[in-house]
Amino acid sequence: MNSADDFIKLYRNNLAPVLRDLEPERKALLAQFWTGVAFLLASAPGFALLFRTGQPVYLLAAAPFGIAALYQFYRFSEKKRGYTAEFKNCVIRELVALIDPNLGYYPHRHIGEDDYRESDIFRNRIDRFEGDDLVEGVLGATRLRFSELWHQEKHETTDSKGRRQTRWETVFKGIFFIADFNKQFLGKTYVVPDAGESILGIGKFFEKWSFGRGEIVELENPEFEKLFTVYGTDQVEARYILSPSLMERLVNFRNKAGAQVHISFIHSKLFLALSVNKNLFEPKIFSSGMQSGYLREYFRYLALVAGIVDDLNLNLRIWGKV
Amino acid sequence: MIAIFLGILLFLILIFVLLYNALVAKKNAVGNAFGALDAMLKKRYDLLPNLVETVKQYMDFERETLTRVTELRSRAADSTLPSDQKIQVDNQIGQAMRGVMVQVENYPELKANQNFIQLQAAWNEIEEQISAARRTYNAAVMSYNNACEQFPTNLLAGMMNYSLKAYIEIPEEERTNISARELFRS
Repeated sequence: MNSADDFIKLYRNNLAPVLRDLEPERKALLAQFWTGVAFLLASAPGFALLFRTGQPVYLLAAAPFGIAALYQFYRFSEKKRGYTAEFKNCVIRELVALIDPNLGYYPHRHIGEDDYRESDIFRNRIDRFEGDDLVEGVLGATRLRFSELWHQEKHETTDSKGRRQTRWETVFKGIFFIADFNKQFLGKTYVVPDAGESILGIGKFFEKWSFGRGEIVELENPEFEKLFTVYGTDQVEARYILSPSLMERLVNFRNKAGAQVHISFIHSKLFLALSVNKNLFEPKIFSSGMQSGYLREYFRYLALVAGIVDDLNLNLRIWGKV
Repeated sequence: MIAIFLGILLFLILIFVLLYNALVAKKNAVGNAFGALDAMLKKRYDLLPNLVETVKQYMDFERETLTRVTELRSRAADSTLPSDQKIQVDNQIGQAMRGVMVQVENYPELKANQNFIQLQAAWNEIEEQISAARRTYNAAVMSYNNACEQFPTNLLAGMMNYSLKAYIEIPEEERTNISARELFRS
């Protein structure tokens, strides 16, 4: 039950009423925001005169409005937290249940740093690690987990005058997925986006450096090779995992996702990082909550990621691993 | 003048050494891949007698095929067999067993036998691994053959008497891949 038609049915029957109930709350939230803005504008002339003339008397005129504005924004952020929690509990939970009733949804949890490290996909230092919207459950014979994650690395540079600059670089932002793989293996196999894709041919040359991920594994599927580069600690095992049918399935999945996909196979598990440069599964506050467009997008991502189990045929358990 | 000449000579020698080593490495990779394949095939031989015995208890009509499989196994286990013939015998074993596995569908009791279920899973696994090892071997052969035919390593290959190596033909059933395996499901 996860086609587009199902979504429309769910929207009409279950989501629209809930969203309608949430609308007054959203509007109140919006009113709070605009009141804050109004107070801020009202305090502006006072502050402008204060800075121009330096006369403290103008501070008296500006301060009350300024304080009122701050208070409104503070209330706004408080209410927004409540609204977001309610939205996730009512709306996103329904969406997840539509994908499969066996999946549990935990709005405040995310994939842990240990699991993320285990995947060995992104090796940068972890200076900031955030996430939410964990989905967890068993589909058929396959246990899976995924959540939104945002991994950042801090760069500090000091220029010639001794000024320090801090820059936060996003290493990965998107959906991180972990599932039991249906075959047992001991080594490590990495499937990364093809470098040649980005740097016209020169990339092919750089692919030879695997950065400690074993040797490059050249596979027979030209379409797959165009999209991905494979490294592995064991040539035979990499091919045992990446059977001709799995390669084809990965090509289809990559095309369907339309985004960068990193995969690793470690400890008989499949780790998949899908880059999404958006904060998903959040409510919209500045436009009508009744629109279905953004929900459809959330649903598409949920279906895409939970669909990995079927897309990659992970429930096929004929190789001695149960 | 002499220094320049020596420099060029040294450079050429360096290139020669690098190419030579690359070629030898590719040749050894083929041997290594064949070794890996051989190890997988041995694993399959070890599994065969058990599987055949279990199947025999239930199947009355496939006796002939099963006897043939046992025969083929003892032929393949002969260490004096040249590698190309060995691969052929292995393909025959695989083919015969695939036939048997399809027939299993007609024997519900056998299909429900716990021992058989385990053996079948082990069999599927080893088949998948053999297929992976074959593909690894072919990838190594391709890399080696490319080096033998491409300039300038082809000159070296000529001097070293390296000849092209043959690929392992992958049986049609395996190339279509999932079809045969789908039958084992349920």
